[in-house]
Amino acid sequence: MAVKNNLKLIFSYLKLNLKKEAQYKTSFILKIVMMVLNNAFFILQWLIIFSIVENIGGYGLNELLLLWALSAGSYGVAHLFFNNAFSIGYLIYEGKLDVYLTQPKNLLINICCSSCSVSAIGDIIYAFVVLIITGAPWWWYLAIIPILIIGALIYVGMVIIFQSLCFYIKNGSALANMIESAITMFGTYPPAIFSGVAKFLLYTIIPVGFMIFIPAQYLFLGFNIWYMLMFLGFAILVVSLAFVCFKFGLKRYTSGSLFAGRL
Amino acid sequence: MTKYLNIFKTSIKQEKDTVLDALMRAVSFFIIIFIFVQLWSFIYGEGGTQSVINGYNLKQMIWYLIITELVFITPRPNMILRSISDEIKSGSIAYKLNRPYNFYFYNITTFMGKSCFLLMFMLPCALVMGFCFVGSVSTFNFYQILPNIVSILLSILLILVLHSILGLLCFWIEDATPFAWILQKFLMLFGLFFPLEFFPKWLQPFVAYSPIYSIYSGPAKLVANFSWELFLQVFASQVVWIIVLLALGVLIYNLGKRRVNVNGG
Repeated sequence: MAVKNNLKLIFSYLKLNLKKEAQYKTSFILKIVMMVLNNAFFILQWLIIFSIVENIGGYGLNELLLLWALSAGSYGVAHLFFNNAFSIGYLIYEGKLDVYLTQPKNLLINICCSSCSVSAIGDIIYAFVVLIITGAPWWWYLAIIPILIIGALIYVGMVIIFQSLCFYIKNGSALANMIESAITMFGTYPPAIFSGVAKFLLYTIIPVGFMIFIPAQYLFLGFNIWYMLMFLGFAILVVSLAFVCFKFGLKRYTSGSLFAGRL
Repeated sequence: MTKYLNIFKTSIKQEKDTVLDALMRAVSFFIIIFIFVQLWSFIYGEGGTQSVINGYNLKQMIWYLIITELVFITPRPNMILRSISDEIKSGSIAYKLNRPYNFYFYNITTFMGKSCFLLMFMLPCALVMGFCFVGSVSTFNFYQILPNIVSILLSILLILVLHSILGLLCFWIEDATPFAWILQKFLMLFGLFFPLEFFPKWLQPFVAYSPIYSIYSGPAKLVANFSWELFLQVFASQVVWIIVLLALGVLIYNLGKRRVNVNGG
């Protein structure tokens, strides 16, 4: 029942946020189209690189584009549904959580879903455009949907864990922003170029290994059930940790006595 | 001119409160360069058999990328874009129209001050990363440091001028951010990621005579393979593009400010 209620809340927020954003129709459409074009530019980068070398660690252009589909898609889902999770540090620092604390809904979900990024729709569309470009088999179009949702949950979960540091330290969001940008940067490069400490970080605090590399390698390019179970298990672990970190941190929250309302 | 110098100094002083932000940017800078080093080492080492690709060896390539990334990360162009577009959209530009300075030049000077402050952090980081990751290039000489810094400063100024022009478009359009995305991707693809020599022969003249060369390829090539002839060439192209784009910005600003309606209050 609780799951059903929370899902209802998430989709109600999405509907409301999109209605609000769609008031400026030209800007709304422009942001989506430009984001697709923005991402598409990177295909040219890789075309130039693959004119120099045939492949990088077994990854050719099609495999690279698959990484892009997973990366842009997960980023898109995260920012479409849970965009406000990326501002939690700011809300804590400014004492602006009060308005959410008074509402009879799960606090963390309520905060995370209360805003959306329109350009994120462009990211999600791009994920599917990339599949078309690579001539992906039909089942990839279906399989990628849950993968993007789980990837987005890992991404948002990790960001919340670091944003929760703001309950303890003044500028905790700076570290969270750094982790966030590292996740977006590492995810679109072939895994073979990373080794040692870098590889360790990519499977822990910058979890693109789980978000992108594992599903790419062990679902789309090959299949290994154990790795996919690890992917799922890591998502559950990160999301649970995010709830726990936020809940513990919340005990230290002090109100900014700010008079605010949400319209 | 003195007033703009004072605006420049004031903005540097204000930036002293943002040391943590500068440190975080330095960490991001490190991450990006780390990825580039991994990628290009792979391409030069195992992936590719050539030790020199399109006239660049690995050291020169990494120094090229360090300088282009330094120029990319230091000016924070989205900030000048947001600052100008927010003031236009909110109408608060009205308070600045009657002040004894040009709103357009004021913003460029302010953000140039901020960028210079950040450059004081980023430049040593760039040097440390370059020397640690690949060491100095064989052609390096200490006398090239000053011309290198001059060309980096001019390329930062060019980025700010370009983005402030985009910000001024908000006199006519709701949001200029999507245009900035596309501009930045052009800058990245044709300057930040690859030197001029990596592009097809037919494309090279277009890139060479565009502002992109003056912003990225020129100053970065100066570090990777310095010569006074190249410096004069890059310096001349930077000055010409700054004059042209500043003039274009003034024209757009003068046309745009006529559209401001002040309702009092």
